[in-house]
Amino acid sequence: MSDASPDLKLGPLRPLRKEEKALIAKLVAGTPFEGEILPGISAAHVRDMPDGGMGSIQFRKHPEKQRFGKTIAEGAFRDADDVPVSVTLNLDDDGELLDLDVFKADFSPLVRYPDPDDITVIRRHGEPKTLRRNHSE
Amino acid sequence: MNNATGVVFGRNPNQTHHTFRYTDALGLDRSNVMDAIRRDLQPHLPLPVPPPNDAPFIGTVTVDGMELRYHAYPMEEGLVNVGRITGP
Repeated sequence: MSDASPDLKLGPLRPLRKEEKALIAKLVAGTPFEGEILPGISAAHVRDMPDGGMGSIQFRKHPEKQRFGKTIAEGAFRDADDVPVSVTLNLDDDGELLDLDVFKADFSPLVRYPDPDDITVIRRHGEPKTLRRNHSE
Repeated sequence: MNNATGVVFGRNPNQTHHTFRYTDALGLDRSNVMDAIRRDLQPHLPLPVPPPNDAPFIGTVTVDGMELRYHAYPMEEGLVNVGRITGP
């Protein structure tokens, strides 16, 4: 880029990192989604989202079609600089994994990816029973 | 622009884009979304610092007939950061 405009593009497709998989596994543990998401997650590829370095990633291969469906898991932790961080795992409107959204309270870049033991899982969303919607809708 | 009432939706264009990515996809005007969230938050202020369980406050607003859910983290001195808004 030759100007100072922000780069709002997704990063290149890359394999899901080990620590990201561990975070997702912690979030969905004990939920109806655990058995559906975890078996295939190791082979997942993602793109870094242009969120200012907070660590959000997108699963969809066709981001231009992205449309939020529902949040299936939520967690929170403290970053190394003691700032609270919220993470949510979201599905698109077809019931496919959409993104892992990371929102650091002060919008600053994530300093250190969390250890799963440091994450508090928050159960306050509805608990959908299945991962995929009926495509006849 | 973003902090007229102490409610901030991102500190740079990347963060603001990230916050509004779903409502943008729904074709909602950002100003209408911000106004609705600010109005909804007002009776809840000040939010407790630190937030319980380090989890953000979650509120619900309706804009152009669409129900939106927003996540807000309180900061010191009355500042509230809204960094996640999801659609219906």
